[in-house]
Amino acid sequence: MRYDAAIIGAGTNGLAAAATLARAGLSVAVFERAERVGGRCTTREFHPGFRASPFCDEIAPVPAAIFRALDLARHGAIFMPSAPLRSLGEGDSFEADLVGQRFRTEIQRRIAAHCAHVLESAKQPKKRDWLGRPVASAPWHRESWSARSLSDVLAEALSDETSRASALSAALDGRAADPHRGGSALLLLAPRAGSGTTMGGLGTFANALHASAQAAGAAFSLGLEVSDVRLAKRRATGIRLADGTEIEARAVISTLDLKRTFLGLFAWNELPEAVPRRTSAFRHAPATARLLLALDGVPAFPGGPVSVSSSSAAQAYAAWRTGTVPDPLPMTLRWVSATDPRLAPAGKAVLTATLSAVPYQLFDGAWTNEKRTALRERAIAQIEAVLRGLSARVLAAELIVPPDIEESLGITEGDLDGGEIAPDQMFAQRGFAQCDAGRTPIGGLYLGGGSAPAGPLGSCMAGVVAANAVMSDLTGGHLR
Amino acid sequence: MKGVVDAIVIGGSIGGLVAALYLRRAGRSVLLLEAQDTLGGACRPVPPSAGVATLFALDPRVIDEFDLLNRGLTFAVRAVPLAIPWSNGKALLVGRDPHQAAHAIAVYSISDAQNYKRYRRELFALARSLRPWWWEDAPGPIAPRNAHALLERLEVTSAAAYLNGWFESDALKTALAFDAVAPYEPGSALALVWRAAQEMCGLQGAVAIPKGGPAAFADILIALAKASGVDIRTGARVMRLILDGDAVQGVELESGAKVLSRCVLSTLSRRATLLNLAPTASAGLAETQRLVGSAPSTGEAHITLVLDEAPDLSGMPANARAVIAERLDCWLDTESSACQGQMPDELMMEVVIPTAMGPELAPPGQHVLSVTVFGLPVAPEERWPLLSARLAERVVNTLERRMKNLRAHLTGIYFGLPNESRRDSDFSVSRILSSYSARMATPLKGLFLCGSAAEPMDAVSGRAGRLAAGMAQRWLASEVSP
Amino acid sequence: MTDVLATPFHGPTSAANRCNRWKPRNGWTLAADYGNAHGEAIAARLNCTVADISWRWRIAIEGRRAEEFLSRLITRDPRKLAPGTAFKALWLNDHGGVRGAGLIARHDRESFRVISTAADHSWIERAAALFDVTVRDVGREEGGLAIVGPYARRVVEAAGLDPALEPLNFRNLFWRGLEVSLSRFGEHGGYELWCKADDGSIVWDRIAKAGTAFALKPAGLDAMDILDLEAGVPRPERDYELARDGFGAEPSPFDLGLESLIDDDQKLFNGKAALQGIRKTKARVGIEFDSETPMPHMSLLKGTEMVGRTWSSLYSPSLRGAIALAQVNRDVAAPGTELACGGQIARVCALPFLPVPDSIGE
Repeated sequence: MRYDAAIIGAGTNGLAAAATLARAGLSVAVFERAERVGGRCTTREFHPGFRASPFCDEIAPVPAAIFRALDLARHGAIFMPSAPLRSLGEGDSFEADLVGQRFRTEIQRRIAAHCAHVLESAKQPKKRDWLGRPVASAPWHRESWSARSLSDVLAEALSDETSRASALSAALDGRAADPHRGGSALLLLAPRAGSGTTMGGLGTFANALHASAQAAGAAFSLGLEVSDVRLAKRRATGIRLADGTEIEARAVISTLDLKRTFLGLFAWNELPEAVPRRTSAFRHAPATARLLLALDGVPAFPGGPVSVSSSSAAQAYAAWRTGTVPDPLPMTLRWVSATDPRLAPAGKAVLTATLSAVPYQLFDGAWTNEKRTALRERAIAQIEAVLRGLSARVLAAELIVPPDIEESLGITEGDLDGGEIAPDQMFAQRGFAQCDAGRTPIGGLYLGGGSAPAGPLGSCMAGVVAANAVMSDLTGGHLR
Repeated sequence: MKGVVDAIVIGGSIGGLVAALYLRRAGRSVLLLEAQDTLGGACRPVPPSAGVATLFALDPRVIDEFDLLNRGLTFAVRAVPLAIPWSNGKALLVGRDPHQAAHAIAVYSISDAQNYKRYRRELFALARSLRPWWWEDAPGPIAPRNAHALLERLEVTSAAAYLNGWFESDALKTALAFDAVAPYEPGSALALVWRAAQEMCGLQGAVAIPKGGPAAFADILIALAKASGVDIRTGARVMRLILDGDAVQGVELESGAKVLSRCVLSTLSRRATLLNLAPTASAGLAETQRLVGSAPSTGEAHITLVLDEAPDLSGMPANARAVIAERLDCWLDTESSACQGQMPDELMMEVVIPTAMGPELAPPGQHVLSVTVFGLPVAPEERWPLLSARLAERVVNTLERRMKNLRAHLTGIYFGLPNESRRDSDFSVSRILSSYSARMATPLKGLFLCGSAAEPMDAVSGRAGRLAAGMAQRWLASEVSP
Repeated sequence: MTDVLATPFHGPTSAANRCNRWKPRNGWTLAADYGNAHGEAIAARLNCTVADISWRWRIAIEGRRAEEFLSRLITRDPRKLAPGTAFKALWLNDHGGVRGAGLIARHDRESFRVISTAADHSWIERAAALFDVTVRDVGREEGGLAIVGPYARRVVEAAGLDPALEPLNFRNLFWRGLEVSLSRFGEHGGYELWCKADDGSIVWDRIAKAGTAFALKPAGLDAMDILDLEAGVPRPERDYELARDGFGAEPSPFDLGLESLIDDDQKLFNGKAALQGIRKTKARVGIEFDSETPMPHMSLLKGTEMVGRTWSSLYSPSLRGAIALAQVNRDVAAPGTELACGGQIARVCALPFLPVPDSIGE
């Protein structure tokens, strides 16, 4: 049977794209190589009785319109808002919170403007010039923060040092960047947290998306990898699975990142010239590592996430660039079982640490077991320095470094952003410059993951935008 | 001195001289005030100071319209090639001829050689199509439609990323990145395009050395200015502008003398002009605050080494501008340390040996090396006199590895330190993308900027002088005669 | 000059109320929120919250003829109430208009309690006088806390109270020296704990301590209002005007969607005769908006024709959109019908908006 759309990858973007298309009445099939859906939104029992979301505690906020359209609340995804990131030792301050709130509103406003633009351009029919080359339907409005540095923007928006430090830590959580460099302000518009948490870890959110897609009639195939996208006359006509099964589809949405899509699913000689050039020029900046701790007893920890980073961000970035783990290690701690009692047995606790500026490849080679153990010990020692008595209480500790993320989630170099957040890789320049909304130079193929223009703007955005582009191209007669 | 003149030019640098010349030609009376004792700005710095050794951005129309070629302006070297010196004494020469350059690059990397031709073609084609906008006072880029996509991409791309997309060889990328001054800033790819949009001696993108050096060029302009009746005063520092509301009425000198004029052109930076010369906040409270906060943090230093004997050039290319830098991403460290007021760990230098290209470029018996060091902090933590000695030491050490007899024959070192008063900001893509009107006009009526701060990037040009003179002339013509 | 009536929990709640936001309700002063009403509403749905419900109007009806009086007053049969149980009922005026809605709890053969969100003391007192029954306002003698959320049961257990209690039941207990009453009356699947007015601080502290392991948070009035709205429960005076004189027929129980609270077996209750003649034209529905701006008390249109009216409307942080309770004509009351309100799309949906989450530890 010929599906209207075949979706590669059942992460949040793939699930959201499937739900959107299925609700519109199209026949959709989603192909995921893992045995479970959700991608990075999953809950893992890393020690008997202790659970956590291994890759991230929160994701970028899901736009409210998408949340309502997919009826996620009724499928079980209700997000508990989390407190803003603070530095250790800083108490609650409602005044600072108000100022911070105004700034967060400004950020949300900018992101929403970009989201609105990209959704609008997805709904516009695809345009081509007289040579048949893709043409952007409307120029993306210029983002004034594209040339500004993070420290500049924070200095202008926030009046006191502690708010600035907190906002800086939040923007650099899990990343490595020089806050003084022009263009680093874009990190604020590509948030990696802010959604809040679903109870039971992020797996609950993935299950809700899955339920919403299934309720609308999307078909799921788990445990089988997609090996190729079939092309006929430079148009995508379907996919081939690892066991040889061929699936025909009028449109193919790949939620894998740019490099995985084009390096993994195609032979380079069948791609138009622009594609390999763009793919090899696309940069990644993987910098996240995670530490999951199962604790016997409850730590003396303030409520809300806390950032522990005494080195400057620029120093951490310089170390990361040379392939070394910075010392001291910038990290964000979250006592996740405090807000979600389901994650730990009564009287015990789960603590997660997001380590930033951890390189994918070390200067002296790959991540060996010794190096992992060394980093794990270092991180625990650093936490012990601020939370006395912690290491005595550790029942289990699991470290996840970028190569592990790459292997588990199938994302290039373990880059959870899906591509470096830089001015020449954001908005209109992310993905393929003259193709808007996730369209590619290959007819019938759409990018719906982190490397798509809408990817960094919010969770599920890229998938929904690609779905809208597919729907508009179907009605416009561009997809046979 | 008192009196009324049609226009006052503050600063005797190239931009000021050109502006004065055009205004004089339009029949206006012009008074040019220079604080130092000699004129010429960066072309003829007062010793013990050093200035530029090469010119790459002169406006050909200035040369044509004042017939400078018949007034003694000749070029000793018309196209100085770029050179990457290796440690074994050889060097990779990247000259203007793309085929020869590709041939030279092919020795080290075949793919880079092929890509070099295409890179140069794309760069020069875009530069030519953007030239009308960068050479005129136009409101926006007049790029043909097929260049829009490329322009849009380059606006956000750093020179480093752009070069990384073309070449593999780090040495080649590092050398080409020197033209961008801040190769990791977003939009600095446009700096490369702007460099390629310049024309010297009829050659696009060339770097030239006039006979007698840039100082000789300055002398020609000075002579012409005096001959055409520009009233030039040296040793006359302007202390403040005299305003009536927001309209310029004249200037007041350090000596206390006042000169009245409805039109003032300044070769200083916007910051120096509006913050130091104009009364407080006359530019507007928000604008003044913005100017206060926007001090440039990186700058370049010019160092001139004088030797009494010809240097041993076995380690350095003679007839080229050699760029010495460890790696492309040293620029990253350099910029971040300069922001914090630290000296960079690795020095990024451009070295030109004018006397090896033309012995008449210095007095007989003297040999000169001109070094430009990039990425230095403008306001370092320690004071410059202490730092300049250390910087000189580091420069000499670096050069001595390639020129054995350097230290033995060194008779003098001159410094031109990063000068805050002529620079407005670090690299900013919005400056390259703005128009001349936006850069030359100020919130004060009758005050215009005509120096290198009004150019898309800091450079000795004269283009802003020419266009500012036009703007000033229109301003004077529109005023009701008193 | 009015008195500021402080509930028995005012001490500990003002310590927790660091934003210092207070609201009056029924004359009492209560915390509007403890810093983040939306977060508290979500916590009530996902974890556990404790809210001060001392503002609810409570009267004790006692006397030999109390059962007879109540039988005449309310729309359900109090003879079916066993001691220790409760049910929800309405009381109407003579012409069938709803005068009050609340919970009727039986303490023993001659003693009942009526709990409601809106007071109606004098009318009931005068009516009771006809039967020689005493009506006593016990509001000032007691304070109450609502413990709401999937972990409510675990919190109650951790505090040392026996959580085994059927819904709509209550039990008087002696809890480590204090006389309290534990009940499960609320619509949100939680517990209520009533204590003497003097014991307020101790009770709050004990509950807070028991709740630390379960992420217990205090919730203010705003959060509880959001929960009420998400549960689809209409509240008198917030959503509709009660029939305050003895003779008006509006609002009828059918208009309010409360016909389930009328016991058809009940032979005689005030206003029963009038109900026969009332036509059922309207229905109570939930409305979901496509935006985040609440639209309270606004007309609902289908095309250009007005087909209903919204009651109270709030932003629901769980659904991430504005919702409203509304009264619409029966012919447009099917879930999924698209109406317009204030220029926005308003979609009819079934009540409750969100189901009561399952209790953990049952």
